[in-house]
Amino acid sequence: MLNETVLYLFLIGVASLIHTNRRYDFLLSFAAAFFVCVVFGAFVLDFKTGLDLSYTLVLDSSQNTNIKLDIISSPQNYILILPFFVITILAMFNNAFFKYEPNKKNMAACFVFNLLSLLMLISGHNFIQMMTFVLVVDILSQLFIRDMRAGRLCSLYNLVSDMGLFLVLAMLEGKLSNLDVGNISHYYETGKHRDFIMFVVMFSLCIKFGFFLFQGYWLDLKKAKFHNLYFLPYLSSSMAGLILFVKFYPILVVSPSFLPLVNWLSVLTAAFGTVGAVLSSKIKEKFMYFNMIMMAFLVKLLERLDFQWNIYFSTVLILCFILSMCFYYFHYDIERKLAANKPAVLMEVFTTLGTASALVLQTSFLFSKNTSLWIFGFALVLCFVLALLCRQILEALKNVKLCKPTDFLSIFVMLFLNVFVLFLCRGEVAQYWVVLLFLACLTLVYYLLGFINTAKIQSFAFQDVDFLGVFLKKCFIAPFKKAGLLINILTDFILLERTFFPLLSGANVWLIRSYRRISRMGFLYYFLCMLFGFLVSFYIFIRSKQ
Amino acid sequence: MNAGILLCLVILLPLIGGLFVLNAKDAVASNAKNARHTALLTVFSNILLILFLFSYFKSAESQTSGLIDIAFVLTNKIEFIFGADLFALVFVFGVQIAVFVGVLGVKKENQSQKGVLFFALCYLSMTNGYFFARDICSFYICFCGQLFPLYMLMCFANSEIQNTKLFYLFGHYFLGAALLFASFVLIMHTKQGDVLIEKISSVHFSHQKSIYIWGGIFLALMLRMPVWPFYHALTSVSVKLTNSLALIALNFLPLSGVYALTRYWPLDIPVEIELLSPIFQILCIVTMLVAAFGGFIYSNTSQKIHHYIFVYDLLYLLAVFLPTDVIKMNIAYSVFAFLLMGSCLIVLQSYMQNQSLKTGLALKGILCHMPKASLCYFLFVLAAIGLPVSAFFWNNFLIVSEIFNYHLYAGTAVIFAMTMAAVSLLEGAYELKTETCLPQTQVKIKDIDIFTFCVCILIMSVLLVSVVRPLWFVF
Repeated sequence: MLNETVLYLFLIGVASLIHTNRRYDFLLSFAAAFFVCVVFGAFVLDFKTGLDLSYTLVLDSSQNTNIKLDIISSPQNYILILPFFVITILAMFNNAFFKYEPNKKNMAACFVFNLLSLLMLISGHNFIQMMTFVLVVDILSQLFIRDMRAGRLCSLYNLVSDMGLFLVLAMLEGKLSNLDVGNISHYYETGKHRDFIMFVVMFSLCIKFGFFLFQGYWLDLKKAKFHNLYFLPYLSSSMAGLILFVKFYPILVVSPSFLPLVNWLSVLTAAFGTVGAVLSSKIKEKFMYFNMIMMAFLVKLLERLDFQWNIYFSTVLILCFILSMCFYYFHYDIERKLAANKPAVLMEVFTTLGTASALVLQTSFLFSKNTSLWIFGFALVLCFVLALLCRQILEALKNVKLCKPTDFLSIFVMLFLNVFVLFLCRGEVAQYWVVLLFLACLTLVYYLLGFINTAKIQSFAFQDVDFLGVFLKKCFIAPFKKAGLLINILTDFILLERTFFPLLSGANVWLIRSYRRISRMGFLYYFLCMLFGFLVSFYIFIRSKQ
Repeated sequence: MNAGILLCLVILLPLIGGLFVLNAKDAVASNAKNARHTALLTVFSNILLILFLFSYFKSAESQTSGLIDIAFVLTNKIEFIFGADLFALVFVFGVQIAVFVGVLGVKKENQSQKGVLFFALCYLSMTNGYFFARDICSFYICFCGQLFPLYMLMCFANSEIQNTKLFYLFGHYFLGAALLFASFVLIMHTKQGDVLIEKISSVHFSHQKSIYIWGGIFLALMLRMPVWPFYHALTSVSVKLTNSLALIALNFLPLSGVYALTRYWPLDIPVEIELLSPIFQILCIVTMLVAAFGGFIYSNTSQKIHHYIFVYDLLYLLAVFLPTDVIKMNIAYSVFAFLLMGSCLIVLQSYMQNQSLKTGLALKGILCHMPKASLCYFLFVLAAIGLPVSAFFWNNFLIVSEIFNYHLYAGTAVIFAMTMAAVSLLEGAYELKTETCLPQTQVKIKDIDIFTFCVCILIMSVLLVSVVRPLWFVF
């Protein structure tokens, strides 16, 4: 059951943290990946038995509410966890074999704990549990990035996003007096503000997805190393956002603005991502923009599926990850420059095309009856970006010395991925015409791109300047800071320090001086004292009468 | 041992320790640190005593009313009663640990720190008394008794505060003491004797007297809080204080106000001052926003920390005024974590500033050369911004959700202020970690010593495990 999976993963994670000599890093990271594989085997067996069980650990039963950790083993939760398990295993094996990773063992531990956090996020039904594990995933993303400059903006954006979620969950808890996620649909019986809640949740999730207007931190991540980055969109905050998207669905969908907002944001993000992918010359940047397109696609896909996360969607997610892995291997080939391995590069191109075809195929399976226009749109965008990528790779490798197939690792990984992709799409042959059409389009675009000098477009300043980031800085952050400064000057300096306190002090001085002056005028002083005494006596007399 | 005697010991031990500190040989030439070690030992002994006091409670869910009591009869009308419940003990425990950290952070200056340590211990003693006082006479004595050692502590702390600023601040505090005195005299006049503080709300007063009494108590406690317009006096002093112990001590005063309001303020605000309640809440929120903005605009990290502390002080204040007591223990747990984190951040920040002054290097990027301090600082910042590495996170969640339950807009404004405070704190931490071009060999910055590092890690572990159970170390 899931609680056993949690326990085993926790033990593997802790064991990976044990301090050992560097030379055992490979061995330990490989062992960790292997054991996660074993746990995955048990997980799949449990999934097949399909039992509904739950395990609860009460942390604090205070007067007002119970804080608890739930691990609910239900078929829906298994389907949700499945892609992350697979992606984690692939990333862990890649981490174990990748020779440039200096700290394999700790990375393996991070992968395991990240998977554990996602698992707890999925299996929990408690606001605090959800919030906790979303935040843990965010912290772990910083450990993955391991670069202060690259991670700075990411952590700030994620913090703002998490505080937005904190607001919504606290509001729901306050109004419902219940921490259970299952009850959020009852919010409209007790509370209002459906649009406000929807906008806050969407604001937070858009930051997590790196959608249009919020992609600044995502583009900043390019400063980090690629091997710390390629898995991030499919294992970290964005996926936590996707899970929350499914969980919050009942409260979002009641707002009439929700669906138009999702549609517009998806389209704008995909458009921006496409433009970015075309204009950027570096693979890492291309990867960032490509992931924007993929995130928009995944969100839209989920919306079209009525937020029902099924096994096909899980497959799509895994295929997206494999595509990002291909990007990573392309980058690795170009970076080496001195010598590239021809069979390995061809294998990578082949895997990319195969995975992309499988992705289109899976998407078409999801909508076999009423295929809508946007799937074609997405397929075209994907086709265009991949054609561009392949052309760029092959052109970049034109002048590079090609050597004998010594890089067996790349070949092995790519072969494995091909087999894996075939395994994922097995048994579904009804719509293979989609693949043929897709590949035909891709070939056409590839040759058409030959007539355009892409290098000229790519020298455009777009690559170096984050226009939207500058816009946000100038239009939001700077006014905020100026407003803060103004408020501080007005309230503290002008109103208090220069007005209130001097007035108080002046009044005090005036009173003392007046008293002194009066006391010097003998007769008047005695007269005033007597008058004061008389008034007091008179007041007491009146009060006593009442 | 009798719990009452233990309670008295907890109050008096810092005072006795202070006398030992005064007598400790602390020669400057030999770099002896006897005074500091004596103070550390005193506070540590107090921590152990409080841990022992916790054993008188069966569990965290047990009664929160006073379970340990001791009374000293002075006259037939005045009786000093001290008592402790779980709520008070959590506060006191947090205060002791914060002072322990503060004593650790006392600068190794050429001049002796005896005065600072002595008055800090006197202040601690009075603060303990304040938290345990149950009748109005003892409460008032401790209330005023806190002010003199604090004033002396700040004078000894050798800071660059202008006298006028200090005068304004203590003017507020003494005005509060005078108001409280007037209110308590009226109560004693009505009741013809001493009254337990929690029983004040059940005493019947005439309408006019009630206005004076409740207004006086309210203002006396409010004058301790960083609410606008009293906010200015506290900020102007705290941003200039460089001594971490004095700064930590100064930050206890708002929390002591929160404590008193939580314990003794009636759930239903007295009708006589009910009208003022919304105005006060608006003032609180506005001050929170101003403090949050304040943290956001300054590039200096120590100012960011001060503003962050004010934001959370006001959050607790808002929570206290909610017409419910279900979050009482959540406030205590949150304050406990807040005290620990706040004191550690202040000490680390102060240490970095000292190193920066000594070496002439800028604060920006200083953490790159201090791996131990960097680890501790980042861990505490993560906890302070509300990530789930301490009980602070979910207790704040419950507090904020309770605010939402009563005032939607207030809750939204509170979260907004918290977000800004958190963002500015995190940004400040990144500023300190920004890589500088200076090679490691040229830098002569000393990292925090191993003892301070171990204490910080221990405190962080306490906070980390408190996510699962807030009082895991006793129950």
